[in-house]
Amino acid sequence: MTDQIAEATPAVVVLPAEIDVTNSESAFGLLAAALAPGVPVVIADLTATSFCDTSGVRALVQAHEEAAARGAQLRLAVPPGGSVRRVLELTGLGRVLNVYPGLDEAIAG
Amino acid sequence: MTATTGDKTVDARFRHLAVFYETGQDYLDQVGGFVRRGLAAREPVLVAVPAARLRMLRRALDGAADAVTFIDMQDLGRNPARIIPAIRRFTDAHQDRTWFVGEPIWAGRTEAETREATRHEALINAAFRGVPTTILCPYDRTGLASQTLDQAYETHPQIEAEGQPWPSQAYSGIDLALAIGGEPQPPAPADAAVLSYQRANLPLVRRFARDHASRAGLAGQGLDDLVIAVHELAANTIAHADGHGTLRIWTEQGRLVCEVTDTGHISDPLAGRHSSRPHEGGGHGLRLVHQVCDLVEVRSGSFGTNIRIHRDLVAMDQAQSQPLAG
Repeated sequence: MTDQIAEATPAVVVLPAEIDVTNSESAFGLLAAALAPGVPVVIADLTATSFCDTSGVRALVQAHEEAAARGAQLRLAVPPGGSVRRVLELTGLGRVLNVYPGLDEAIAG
Repeated sequence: MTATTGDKTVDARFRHLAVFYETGQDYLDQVGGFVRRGLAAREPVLVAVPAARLRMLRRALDGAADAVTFIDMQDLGRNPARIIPAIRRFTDAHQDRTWFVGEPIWAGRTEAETREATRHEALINAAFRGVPTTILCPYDRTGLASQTLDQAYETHPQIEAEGQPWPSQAYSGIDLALAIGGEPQPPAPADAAVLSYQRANLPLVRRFARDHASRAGLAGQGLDDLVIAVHELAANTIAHADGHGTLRIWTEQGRLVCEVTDTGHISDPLAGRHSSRPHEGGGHGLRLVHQVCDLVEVRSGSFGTNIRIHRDLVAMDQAQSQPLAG
C-alpha cells in the first residue's frame, strides 16, 4: 500500500468505528505499517470513530513516538465534541498528540 | 510510593496532621494560622476546603490570600479519589516544601462518601511518603459523627493542637484504607439491570450502559463520560481478570449506580490515584473513571473485585444545597 504513495504525500489511515482493548493493537499495527521510509506524515483518520478507550489512546501515543523515532509525524483527525476528544482531554494526551478537527486540516498541517 | 502497611513511623519530610475545630473563629485561628506559617516560610500553599470555608479563609487572609492557591473541595473532592493526584500535581510543580490544607469530609456527606474520604485520608500516608510536604486536614468537631472523628486519629500520624504537632497514638498507616477496600459490598438491588460480559461483547457493554444511563436521565457529555467509565472498568476485567464479568445498573436516591464485578484482584491500594502515566496499563483507565464519577467504591478481596461508580442525576448545586455552619 504505502509504496504506491508518492513521496512527501501524507499517508491516511482510516481507523475503525470503535477502538478498544480488542483492536487497539491492530490499530497501532496499521499506523506503524504506514510509517514507511519516505513517508513524512501519517494521518490517523478518526473522523468516523465514535469511541476510543484508553488502550486506543495508548496505541496512538505509541504510534506518535514511533513516527518521531523515524523522523516522521503522526497527525490525528478528530472532530471536536465527541467521545474520542473527551478521552484525549481526560487522559491529558490530547496535548501530547497532534490533533486536528478534520481530515483536510490534518493534511494541510 | 510503595504502600507499606507495617510502616507507621513518622516521616520527617512528609507531615500529615488532623486538626479539630468547633467555631468559625476556631477555624480561622487554626487553619488560617497554618496557612500563614506556610506563607511566612515563603513556601507554596494550596488550600482545598468546602466553598463556604474557602470564602471565609480568603477573606480573613486578606491581601496574603493572593499567594495561596484555592480549590473548592466540594468540586475536587466530590469523588475523594481525585484529591491525591491533584496534590501530587502541586507538589511535583514545586521544588520547595509545600503546604496543603485538605478538608475532604464535611457535615452532610453521605456515609458512602465519608467512607471513601476516610480511605483517601489513610492513603495519603502511602502516596506522599518521603515527599517534602505538610498536609493539614481540618475536622468539624461539632458537625461530624464521633466515629468519623475517631478515625481521623487512625489516619493521621500527628494531631495539631494550638499550633503544635502531637503524635497520634491510634495512627495505623493505611490500615483503614485496606480494611475499607477489602470489605465486601451489600448485594445490589434485586431489580438492577444485569449483563454478563466477556471479551467479545465490550461493544454490548457500552450499548447497555448508554441505554440504561440515558433512560435514567443522563445526556450529552455526562452520558458519554458514564459510558467511558463503565467501559474502562469492563476492559480492566478483560485485561486483568479471567475475562468474564457482570455489570449491574440501578438508580438510588437521585444517583445512577453502575457495578462491575469480576474474579480479578486489585493489589495496589493506590490504583487510579497515581500521577498520569500515559504508558501505564489498567491504572490509567481507573484514573479516568475517578475523574468522571461523583463517587467510586473499589472493593477487592477473596470475593473478587467489585467496583461501584456513582453519577448524580440532579444538578450539583441542588445536590449540595446544604449550607456549612460557619
